[in-house]
Amino acid sequence: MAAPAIRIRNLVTRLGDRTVHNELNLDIQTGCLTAIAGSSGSGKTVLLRAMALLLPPVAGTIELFGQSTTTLSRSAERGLRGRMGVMFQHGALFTGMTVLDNVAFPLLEHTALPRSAVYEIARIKLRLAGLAPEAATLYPSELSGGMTKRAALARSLALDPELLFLDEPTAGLDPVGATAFDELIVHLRDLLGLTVILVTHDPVSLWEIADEIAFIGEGRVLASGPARTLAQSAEPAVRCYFGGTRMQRAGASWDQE
Amino acid sequence: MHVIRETLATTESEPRLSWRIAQRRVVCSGNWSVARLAAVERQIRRNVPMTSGEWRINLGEISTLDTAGAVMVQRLCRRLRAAGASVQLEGVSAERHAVLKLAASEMGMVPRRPRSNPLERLGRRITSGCLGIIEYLAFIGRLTADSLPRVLRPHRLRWHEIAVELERAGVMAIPIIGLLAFLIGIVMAYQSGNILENYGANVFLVDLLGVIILREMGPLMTSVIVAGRTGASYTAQIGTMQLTEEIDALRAMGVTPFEMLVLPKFLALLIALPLLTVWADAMGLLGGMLVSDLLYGVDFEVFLQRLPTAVPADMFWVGIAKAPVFAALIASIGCYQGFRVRHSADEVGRYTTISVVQGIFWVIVADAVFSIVLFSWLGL
Repeated sequence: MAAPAIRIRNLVTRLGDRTVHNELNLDIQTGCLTAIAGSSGSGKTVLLRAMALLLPPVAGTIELFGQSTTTLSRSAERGLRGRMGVMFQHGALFTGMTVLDNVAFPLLEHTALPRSAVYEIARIKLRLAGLAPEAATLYPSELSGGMTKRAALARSLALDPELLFLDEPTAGLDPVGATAFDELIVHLRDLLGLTVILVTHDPVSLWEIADEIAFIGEGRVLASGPARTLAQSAEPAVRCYFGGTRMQRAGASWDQE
Repeated sequence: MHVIRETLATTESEPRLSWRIAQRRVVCSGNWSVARLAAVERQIRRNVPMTSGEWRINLGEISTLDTAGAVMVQRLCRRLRAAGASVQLEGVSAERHAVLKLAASEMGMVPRRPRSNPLERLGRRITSGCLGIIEYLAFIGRLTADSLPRVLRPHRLRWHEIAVELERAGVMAIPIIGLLAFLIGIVMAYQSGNILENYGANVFLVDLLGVIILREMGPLMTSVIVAGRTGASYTAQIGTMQLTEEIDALRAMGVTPFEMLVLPKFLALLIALPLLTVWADAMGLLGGMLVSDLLYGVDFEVFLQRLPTAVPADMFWVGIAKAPVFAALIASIGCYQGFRVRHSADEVGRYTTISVVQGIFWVIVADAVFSIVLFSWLGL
């Protein structure tokens, strides 16, 4: 088996005085669509931020593509950041730029391509994320919730990352929009050969699109595996999470298919 | 699952275009991923020959092809077609086909935002400038309408918020205002003492410093510092609250933002600025007194004895009376500019700047008006 894209060993993170993760271990395989699940406040987003090099760990190691991230030179860090894209929960689009400029921004920063090529690539990314051409010249404040998510996804794909981090991609979308977004994520993974890590609460996403689920609780990974396996887990917290009615219904409809 | 990327070892080779003009072939090789494409892009732009006939582009030797790489391949095709050739791709694996197709089907030209001409922009600036005054007056009107019922029944005022604002705008400004007033007192005494000494009129330093500091410099300097410190923070706070929809949340709860946010700031500054002015007056005179004593032989005792006779108490009261007016200008402009923020973080910066500039501007204008009205009409 190929080396994992991300290898986390004995990770400890703190927010203020509160220890969020304690000796957490996790491997994420290349090309895999891994969901990070867990109840609210279990540190899913914090883990995502740690993996995306946005939050330095207190102890432990995170290896991205076999490269340790604890002692990175500035140029190595910049190189790594070019290989990953992050889509934030609320989009975090730059409010002073149009959607197209938002997507073009990382390209202009990281490459020496001329503007015409950059904007051509940016337009492809918007298309890839399923945005209409009319949306390109809008400002973030003029976008609907679904369009904001898609624009944020387009920006996170700007540099053709190998790793894509998605924080609650379907939160706040209507059911149709959420399903479409799930399908889009799978489509992009297949088309671009991405390794996707998504933090989600959406039972449908967990059952339908995740290859692997890492269930976080008590500061560590309580269980991991496909939804089917986790639903039968012996761990009480995991069983409780997957035993909820919403989760059951999503699982039942998945079984029928 | 189609994985286009291959092992790390092969991704290290630079992307390359080899022209075999005789055979009408282009061979692409190496790693065609976004970070490395600049050189290839230049080649495509410059080196495409004027040609015709059927060209073949071989992609078989490309180790990595991402969407940006696919865009470059399509640009190459377009250039060749524009030069008069027909183009065929070869060595395209099944998984790359989808990416190349995507890059070929580039979406239609993005509609441009209509650009305004300079004349139109000038017109808009002027009208928005004029309307700005009306909007500001409307803001004052709404503020008054919302807060008057509260002000008339003081037990319904938000005393807690007022106390918090009073601490931030007043108490925390004490060190900086004290220090700056002290330094200005020193500078003024030093400069004017130099001139008065020539006439042996050292003792008139007391008159000069008393009038200038108490009447003009004290209130003016304090207001300028407060406009930069507090006016800016009012704009930034309210502007950010606009962006995060906190203002809308207040409205939705039936709390008017004027009464909740603006009125406490307004009242707090109305109280704080006169008090800060007294403090600035004292520190300024102290600085002046120190220099008079050390350099010009006017010692503390003489200075303090002469001060009440040389400078009528009116001077002090005129200075203090200006302060609430300046405070009202700074607070209302600061809050008003905050409410103008609508969409972007850019605007927070822009309106904060405007708030400080306009705050200082109107304070100085008001000061000039005071001088004219009080001095020439009322003879104070």
